[in-house]
Amino acid sequence: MARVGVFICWCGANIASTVDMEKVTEAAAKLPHVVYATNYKYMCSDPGQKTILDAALEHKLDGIVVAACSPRMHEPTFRAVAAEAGINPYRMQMANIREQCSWVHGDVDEATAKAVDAVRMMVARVAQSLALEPIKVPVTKRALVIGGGIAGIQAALDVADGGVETILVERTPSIGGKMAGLDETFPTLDCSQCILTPKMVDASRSELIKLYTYCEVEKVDGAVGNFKVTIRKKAKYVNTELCNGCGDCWHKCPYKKIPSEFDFGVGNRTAIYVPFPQAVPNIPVIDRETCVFFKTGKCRACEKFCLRGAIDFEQEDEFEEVEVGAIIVATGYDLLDHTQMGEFRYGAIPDVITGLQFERMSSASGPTEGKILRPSNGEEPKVVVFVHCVGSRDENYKEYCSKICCMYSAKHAVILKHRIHDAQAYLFYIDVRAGGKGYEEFWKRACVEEGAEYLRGRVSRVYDEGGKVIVEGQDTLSGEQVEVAADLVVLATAVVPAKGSEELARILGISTDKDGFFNEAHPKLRPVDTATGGIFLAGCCQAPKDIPESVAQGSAAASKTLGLLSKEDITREPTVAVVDPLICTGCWNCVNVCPFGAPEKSEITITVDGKKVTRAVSNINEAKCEGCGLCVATCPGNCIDQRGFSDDQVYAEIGGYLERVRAAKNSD
Amino acid sequence: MKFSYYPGCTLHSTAVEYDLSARAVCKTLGIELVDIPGWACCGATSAHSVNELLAYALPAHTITSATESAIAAPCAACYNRLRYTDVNLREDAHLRAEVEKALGRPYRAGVAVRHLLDIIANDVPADEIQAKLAGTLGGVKVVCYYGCLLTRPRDVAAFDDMEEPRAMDRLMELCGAEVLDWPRRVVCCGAAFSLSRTDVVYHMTGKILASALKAGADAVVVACPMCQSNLDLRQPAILKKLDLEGRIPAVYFTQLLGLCMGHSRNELGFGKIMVDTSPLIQKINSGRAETAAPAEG
Repeated sequence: MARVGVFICWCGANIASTVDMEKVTEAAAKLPHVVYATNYKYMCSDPGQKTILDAALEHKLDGIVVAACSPRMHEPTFRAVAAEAGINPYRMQMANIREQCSWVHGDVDEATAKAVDAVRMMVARVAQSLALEPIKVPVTKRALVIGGGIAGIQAALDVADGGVETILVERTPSIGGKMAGLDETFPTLDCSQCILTPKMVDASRSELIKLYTYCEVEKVDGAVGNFKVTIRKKAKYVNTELCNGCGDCWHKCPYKKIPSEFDFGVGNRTAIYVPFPQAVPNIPVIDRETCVFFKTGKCRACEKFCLRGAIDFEQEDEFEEVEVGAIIVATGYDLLDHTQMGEFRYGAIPDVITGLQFERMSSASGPTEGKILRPSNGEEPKVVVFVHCVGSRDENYKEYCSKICCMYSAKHAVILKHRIHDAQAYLFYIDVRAGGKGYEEFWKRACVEEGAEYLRGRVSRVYDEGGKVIVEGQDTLSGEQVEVAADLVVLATAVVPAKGSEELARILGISTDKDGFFNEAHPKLRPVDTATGGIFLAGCCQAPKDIPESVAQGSAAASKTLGLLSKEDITREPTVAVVDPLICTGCWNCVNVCPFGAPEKSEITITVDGKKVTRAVSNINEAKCEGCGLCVATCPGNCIDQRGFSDDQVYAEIGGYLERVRAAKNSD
Repeated sequence: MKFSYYPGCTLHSTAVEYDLSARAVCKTLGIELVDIPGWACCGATSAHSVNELLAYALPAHTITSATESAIAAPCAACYNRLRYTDVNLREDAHLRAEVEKALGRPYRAGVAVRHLLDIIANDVPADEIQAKLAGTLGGVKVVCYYGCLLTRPRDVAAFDDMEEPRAMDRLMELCGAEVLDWPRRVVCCGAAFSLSRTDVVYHMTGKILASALKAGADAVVVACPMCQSNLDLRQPAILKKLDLEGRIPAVYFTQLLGLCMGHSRNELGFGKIMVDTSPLIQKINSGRAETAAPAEG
């Protein structure tokens, strides 16, 4: 007989208000294998853990059942307690009587009976549980950062600062991300480029950071500590060894009217281009889609004028496989497409622009060299309307608050006043959210000192008439309908995950929330981790964030990465599949079904009737096995079992439940 | 095509010309209209302002009385009330039980409630309409005004784009009108405030009229009798107040379609429109004459 102790947690009132603690304790004490049962208000607290430690010694326990919350919450906690008490951590099981019982039921008697069932099942299971030892795997001391915006750059710099080689993958031709395109930043109005470009240069000069610009992550295999990542290096059609970034090619390119992605269409670029003058690396790429040579077979102007012979039209996409121990995802955001919104006439009004387009115009290095102009006629706008919450906090589009818009709209109003002194800004808002250091003061400054007119209410529609953009809305403070004849309308459109996030989530095997942002492992306590070991998040790919928050999360993800990669070995869960070679027939169903390539074709030599026989059998590579159970379910001969989820354990658990049925029958 | 026809109160009173022209056009297009026996008023704004049950029961009575599988409603307000009732009674079993108690019979769910514009613009192929046209609108400039009830709310009235509908524009283009882009397609005219808060209607309808004049339109084409009445009946006083010159007739899309199909102005009730439509008719005729082909007026 095993010697199992049962520890039942009240979780304050979370469990105790619906489940009768004493009854469960009493029932637990009577179960086979159980030598001790007790309850306590907070089993996860220090005194709670001590209760377990003391009881383990006193009653010589060799198995523990903690009836409390979900194992997703506290399994690591109680496994550690078990280890400290000298009990194998895999002989600790949690009975979930909170999420799966007290929280979802109201009737005390029924909930108590269900809690007793859960305890009985777990006691039966623990009695069958084998002691398991964690598997140790050597760690690849190299990190991958996906996305070269401010969050990714910060993460890469910090990881490199910790002495670890870092690969920074960016899909556009330059690192810098959205921040490189911004004008001044709130609330201090320091120039975005001035604070960002030195970091970009640092990243490119660091010996430990390898920049992979114009590249995308194609495939990810392996697991925490040992990922194998395939990177697609998109053809630049420029030999990066030979190119010195002189600019002759893009100046000579005859095709100059391509809307620039970096300028959000406010400015144009050529077919061979660098996105902006301060690009890192300062090496152009040829956009195959718009290059006239790729379309018609004629031109090659760039090639003719390149004195270094760096243009190479023969290049093709290349693939490179890299091995890394950890991955930081920092893929950033895009803006909701307002040209899909009827209330703004589906983008048919040229003088209705987005906040990022305004940034490109007001940026000194932008296409208008800092001049704010009406796209329709190039004139200076005198009346500018800024609309908050376009598609955010709106049940028709995105329910969430995009967080940064209140502040950047206030900043835009201030910048407008600084550039065009006689201009008037109107801001339509729902309420101003200015939580952050110096933020409240900043928007007040916009309001009081810079004369921005704040109108509390939503905009109902925007249309063009007589050369003006008419904005109709509501001022809920005066109770009036208001109409502003504007020269320019700037929409603070909702922040949405960057295009391609969904595909990347699939490649990485991480989850997204209902809006497509990557999910953190815990909304409060693990905001940087994903549920997949070794993959961390930074910046707006997780939720809308401003620059300081993105930088902070970049650093946090770097510190998590360094913590992981500082170890020589990584311990992996021992709950992996095992093949019984004596009955395996080598059908290879497991080999075919495994997404991780863990089952390997192997041989076994056995003695049958005094003769040595060699047979082909499957063998699971523990370093690769993720413990998903696919092979276990697939094996037609039932030759594969999963440690920690063995048939014996699962059948014992089911048997534990059936006890209740049996008892009910007997009492009839 | 066969539909239960729900004229609603206005088409039997202030909007007789809509009724006349709707029936004429449907006849030409081969759309059979069967009057709903014992139809009731939809309750309009009044019912849902004072008694929720009544606001559902009245349309429910009419829907349940329909003899065909689909209803054609030419009035935007009736259409909206009927759709609203149908959507809510289908989703809310409790409400449905209440309404059925009031009706004294089960509600007939599954009858499609359609606006006449939806049927003509979306069910009849453009070439079939084209084939029935005996003349054109001679390139007169029109703006199409849908009003607020025809396409909203999105989940209730969903036959066209909520903010930028185009069904009527397409029909008018087919008839050879120059359809102007303008920003007031779906704004509210003030509707029933015409009686209780005339100032509100002056303000709201005033914006629509000013915008139509500014766009240079010869007519505002409508699909709602309430809108038409505000745009037409109140026009002289509104334009005087706004100090605006000119007049612009508000005509039903069915009247212009009917005109092109060769129906007489009398058949289509042009005489019922308060604002003088003769300049519009003249323009249509001279436009037809200009387009080379000898067309009759």
